[in-house]
Amino acid sequence: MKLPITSLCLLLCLHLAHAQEVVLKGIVTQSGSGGPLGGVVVTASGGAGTAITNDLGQYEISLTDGYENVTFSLEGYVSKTVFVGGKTQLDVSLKAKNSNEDVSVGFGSQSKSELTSSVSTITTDDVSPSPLINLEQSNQGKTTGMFVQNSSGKLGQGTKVRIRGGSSLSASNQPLYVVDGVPLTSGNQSNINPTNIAKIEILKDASAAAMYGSRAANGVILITTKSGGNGGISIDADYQYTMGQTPKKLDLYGPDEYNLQTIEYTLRSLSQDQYITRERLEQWQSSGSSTINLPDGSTVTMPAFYSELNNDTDWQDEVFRKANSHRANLSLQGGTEKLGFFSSLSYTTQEGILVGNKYNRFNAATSIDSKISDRISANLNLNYFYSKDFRLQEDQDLGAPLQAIVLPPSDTYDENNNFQLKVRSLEYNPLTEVNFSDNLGYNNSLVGSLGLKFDLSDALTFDVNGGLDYNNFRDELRQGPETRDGALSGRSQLGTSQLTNYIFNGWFTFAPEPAGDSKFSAVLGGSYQESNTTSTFRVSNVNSIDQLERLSPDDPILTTIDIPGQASVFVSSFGRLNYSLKDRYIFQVSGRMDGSSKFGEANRYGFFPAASGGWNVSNEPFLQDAGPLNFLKVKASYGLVGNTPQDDFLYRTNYFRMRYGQQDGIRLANLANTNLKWETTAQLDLGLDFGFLEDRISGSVNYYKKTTTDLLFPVPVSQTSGFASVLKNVGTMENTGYEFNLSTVNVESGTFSWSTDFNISFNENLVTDLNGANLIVGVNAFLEDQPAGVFYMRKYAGVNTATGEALYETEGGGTTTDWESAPRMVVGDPNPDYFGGLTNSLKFGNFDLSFMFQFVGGADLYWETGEFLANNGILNLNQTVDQADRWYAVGDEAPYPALNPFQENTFPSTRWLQDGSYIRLKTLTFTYNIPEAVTSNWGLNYMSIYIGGTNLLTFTEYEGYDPDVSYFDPLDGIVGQNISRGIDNFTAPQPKIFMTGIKIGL
Amino acid sequence: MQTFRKTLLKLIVPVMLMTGIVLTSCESLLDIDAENTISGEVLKDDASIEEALVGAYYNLMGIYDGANGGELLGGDFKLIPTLLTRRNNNEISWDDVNAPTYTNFIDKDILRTNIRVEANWRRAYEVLNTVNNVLANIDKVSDANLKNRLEGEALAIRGILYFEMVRLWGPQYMDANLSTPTIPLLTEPITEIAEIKTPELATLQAVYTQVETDLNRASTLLQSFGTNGTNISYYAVTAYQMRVALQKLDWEAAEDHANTIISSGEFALAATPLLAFNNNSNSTEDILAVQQTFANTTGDRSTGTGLVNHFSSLTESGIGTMRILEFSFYSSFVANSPQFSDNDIRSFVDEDVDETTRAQDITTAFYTNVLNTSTISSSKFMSADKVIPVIRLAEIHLSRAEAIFEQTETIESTALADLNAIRTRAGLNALEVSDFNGDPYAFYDSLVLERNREFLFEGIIFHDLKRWKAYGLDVRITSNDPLDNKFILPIPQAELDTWD
Repeated sequence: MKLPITSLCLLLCLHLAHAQEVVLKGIVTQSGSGGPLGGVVVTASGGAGTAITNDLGQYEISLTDGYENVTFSLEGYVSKTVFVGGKTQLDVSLKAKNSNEDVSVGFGSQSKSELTSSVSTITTDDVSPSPLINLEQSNQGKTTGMFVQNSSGKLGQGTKVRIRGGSSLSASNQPLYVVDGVPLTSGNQSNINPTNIAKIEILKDASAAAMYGSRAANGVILITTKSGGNGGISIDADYQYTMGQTPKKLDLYGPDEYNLQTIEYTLRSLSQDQYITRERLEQWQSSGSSTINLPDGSTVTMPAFYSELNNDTDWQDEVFRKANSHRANLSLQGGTEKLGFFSSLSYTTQEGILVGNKYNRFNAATSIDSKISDRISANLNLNYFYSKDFRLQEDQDLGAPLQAIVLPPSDTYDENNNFQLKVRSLEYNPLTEVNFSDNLGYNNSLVGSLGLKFDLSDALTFDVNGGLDYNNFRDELRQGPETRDGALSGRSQLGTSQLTNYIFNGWFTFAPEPAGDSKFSAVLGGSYQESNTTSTFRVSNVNSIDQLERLSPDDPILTTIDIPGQASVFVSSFGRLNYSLKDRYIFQVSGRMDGSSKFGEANRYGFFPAASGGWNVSNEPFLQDAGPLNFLKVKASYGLVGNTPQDDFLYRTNYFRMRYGQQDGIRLANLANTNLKWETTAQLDLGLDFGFLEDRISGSVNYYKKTTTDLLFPVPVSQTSGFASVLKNVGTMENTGYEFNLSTVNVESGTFSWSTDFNISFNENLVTDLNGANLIVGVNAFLEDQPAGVFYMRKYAGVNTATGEALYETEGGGTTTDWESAPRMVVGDPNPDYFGGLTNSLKFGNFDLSFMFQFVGGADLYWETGEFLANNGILNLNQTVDQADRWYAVGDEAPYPALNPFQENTFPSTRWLQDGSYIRLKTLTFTYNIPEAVTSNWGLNYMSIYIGGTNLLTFTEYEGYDPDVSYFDPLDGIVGQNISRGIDNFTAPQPKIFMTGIKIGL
Repeated sequence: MQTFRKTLLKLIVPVMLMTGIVLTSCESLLDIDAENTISGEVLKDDASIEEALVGAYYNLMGIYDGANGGELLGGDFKLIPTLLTRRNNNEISWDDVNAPTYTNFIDKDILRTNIRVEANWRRAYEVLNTVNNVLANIDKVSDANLKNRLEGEALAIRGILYFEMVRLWGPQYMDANLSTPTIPLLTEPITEIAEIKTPELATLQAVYTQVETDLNRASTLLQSFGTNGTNISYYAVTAYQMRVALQKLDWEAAEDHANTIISSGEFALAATPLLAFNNNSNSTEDILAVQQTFANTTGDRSTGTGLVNHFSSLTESGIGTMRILEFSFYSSFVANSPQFSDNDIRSFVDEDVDETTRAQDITTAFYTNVLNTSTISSSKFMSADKVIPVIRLAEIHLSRAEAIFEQTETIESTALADLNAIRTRAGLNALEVSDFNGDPYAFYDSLVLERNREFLFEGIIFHDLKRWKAYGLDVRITSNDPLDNKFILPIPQAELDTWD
């Protein structure tokens, strides 16, 4: 009842105030950071008066009747004009002009005009209201130099993020994520509630990333979560409903075509090839008879099951569904001058588009800023989350739902008989797995930090902060007696892992008052970070996790796997010096010295320095009246950053524990490599930032070259050592690229505005040296003088018209039917040549429309699914319709080989290699902001409703479900993940999502 | 500028102090260890050296090591020779969809890139490196008795494994081949990366010499330990010495070794041939066997690996990739066919099986392949938690009979008794000298036939065929010469690629 009463009071006040002169009060803050802005000129229309905000951003201005426009303006900020509409309190936030925004750079921030390094910023306005709950996904296509690729459309799956190309072969290629000052080792950035994120900064070049030294080779992503305001309390709430579905259905055989294939399969298995033609097969199939009369008068009887293949099942409909999801957020922000706070709760429940897949997450976050005294301030950030993931089997496993698409369409299943197929009962129906197993992942995590800032003098501050990244995982898999793996007794397995990563930072910032034309500042500090992981795994043939957990450690039916813990320490000192002269010439030197426990004593320390310079050309006197040009800066940087191996303790000999019979034993895990050291990336960056027409047109161009040396690589060794390969620092790799972005404000009038952001990045990756070694995993390879993960396989060369066998290209350009003897060749590149995005935002009165296209070009994909789903029916699985166009009889000129079970033509070849380029309407949002006059009547600050969608349109020539795919088998480890690029193996597509939602503030 | 400098100094001092503290205390801070790790120079006392030896057993016996892990004695050293000996789609219809990595063997066309060849090669050398490491540190074992046992077992493992390897990766032992380069012979441990070198191939003679030296010394060291639990015992070493002698056609030594085992009275034939398999612990007949428990088995059902997975087609334990064609048992056109007679219980097939049949329900030597009902499955390896025999007493008996025969070329009563011991427990009648009509070679033929029946699919006959051929007999593997190079496993391509 509180709300209506408040509104009533408000109405009453308004009414009373109407006739006489009114006083308008409020606070002006900075958009994004929320800090107060002093010196803002507040002007009322009609010459009623002006006012200037004080240091706390407060103002007070007299108006004639409270029904006029008020304009807020400040140098370096975009002016704002607001219709007062009878209010007496009006808080506004001003957006800094492009060139003047503060950018976090790690242990401090710099204004954009002072920045000499390459940093991209994504602010919160850009993030919501996307329905994607994973931070990486929601930033796909948003900025230059950051390539985001989804591994799968299953919920809770990983997302690949590559900043300016991967820089490693066997260590991680993911950027370092730093949440509120805490460098994560848990990978939990994906679980931060995207609506809580105030801003994301991507440190791309060495100059920016050198502050994170040995872990910065893949770029650094700084995530700043929302913090308290000062001023009144505001409450924001939003709710969103989405409905997802598969973006596409593949065109597969119907029952008739499948049965025709079954006839051919049977005849060829019996070596009755000579009479087969497409025409005859059609006749035999349409006759409906189980007895085939061959032209020579003999007959062939089809196997008994054939006559029962009379059902019609669309297996895609059986495994795809319309997926309903809900998300609700509630946040509270407020505070006083001394104490600001922000608090939020969020709950998300998502269904996957494949049956059985579901994801629930609860987020809670709190942030407190406190000014303890004039000289001491403190801040606390806590992000907690709990998620429960109803998972599916790995894509290549027979129990994965999408595997159902190869099942016979003329068969069906019996729900009352464990979903077994009625006719082909030996084929495994994934629905059995979905219905009789529980595959659950629990994540219970906290990312938090506590910082204190001491103003030692006006020029010198000292910051200390401590952070924690805690992560508790629990993976449960129960497979009932009805399933294949759990057959007869059931099978349960339980894996747990607990990661504790904590950090302690301290640093001084010295920024004296500028002396004359020169401005100087310095940062110098130290850091200690320790990360510990312990894991357990147990499995047994019992039919419940409870029962599994109750088994005593020495129960003979229990298998436990002894997993050694992991631990690492980084001890570091870092510093940065900035000097600028006349606001035109800017220099920065930064560096970090890291000590890491991951290496042997001789190689523990690494020094990663960087230097950069910038020239604000537009501040030169000769450019003061340069017409439309208002901002121009050129900058250059060069520096070193590093990368460490994923595993700890590789420098020393390690053993596993195991058991043989009833005896305990140990087994060598690796041989000591005392020479192991950092991978080092030297990076050159040249950039140009510009702004025209008061930043109505702004943008930047960047060129970079990254050279990584001492690449850690599993070098094959004589196996008489007991090992197939050992990790050594041997290789070098280069990434070269250009980035371009352009933001334009196309129209800006009182009621209509339209702005456009465009970005495109080109990257070329090349492994330049592997010391003569190579690594081939499946169809991907690391080869010298080729891009990392290049497609390396046999070239498909069509069909032998006489025999129907598949042909493969030989060395000399000829063809052979012998797959094994055909050489593997470099045939494609899974790494994109370019990628980017185009966003348009339109505002018309109370309506907002924004839509973003995202694109990837020049990336090849290997549709591994095709080895089964488009293999001319050689295993008598269901096929894509084009496979009917196969070779049937001598002389047929067909694109696909014969269905001949005695021929081996389903081995990997370019037959399934495809262009994976695409353009996609990634997001579309249409918002209606209910007029303030109405919402204030309801006692609300604002209220908006929106509809929209994600992945609504995709333009691609790719034949599979979705070109945004890169499946890897988690069992392959980090090297497998790095090398397996562009693989689609029964991988779930990204859903097409329709959404609607409401946002309320009070 | 003066004040500026002062301020700078003020700044630098505390920072230097702070970073100084950080850097000086670094060394100790960086010496971190995680929970539950074992690292560094581990082999330093009785317990750790014994644990390392258990690690060698774990690998030697082929406990599951991933989908493409080598299985050595616990799997591939049985399965590979078995497939090499049998004709595809005639004796075995191998399921190359579910077990494609074995197709090379049944096709008798073994590629250097074959993953099974590579996996066993690598793991065998892991075992050898482990025992070399144990032997290099054996003086650190303080308990003299324990030291003898550990040294004896480590030498035995090395001798056994080099023997198994050289008869798979090398040619048959015969004069013409003695100087043929075979496999690398390493007797010193590799403990760090810098010690890895391109190996040299030792000659056939050199490997056999090492095998015999190791086994002889192991025999001496282990003699006082009797049957030595489930570990390699004096008798297991003796059994391997017998195998080596047979392979070298040294009949006298073979007979001696066989006598040692049989006369010790430590072992007894199981009451029926079926009772020699699928036991929870070693049967009275097992001289050496792979200890499988539920927790540590040689394969993994979910990845379809291991002997049990290939042999068993029962829902609870396997995928029955080894689909046996029953008619081949009786076909006189099939080389090395067991030619079972009607009442041989080693030939009975249970046709009353389905998806719910469990291992305990099977009481016959074969049963209808549940997943491919026109073929049958052998019940020798049905459950992943039962022991897998490596050497059974039955082999000692039949080998002794053969060794005696070759020395005398007459039907000796001991030899006949050995043969009859195996026959009678299989439900066949005992033979008399008179049954052979005075033809001692007919007796010999019975011995060969009995080996084909008794050791069917156990990987033993492959090696017999090689030595018989070397002895001058007209034997064939399918239609091939057993001494053909295609029956020698190639050195893996991955290994050759690393050689300078």
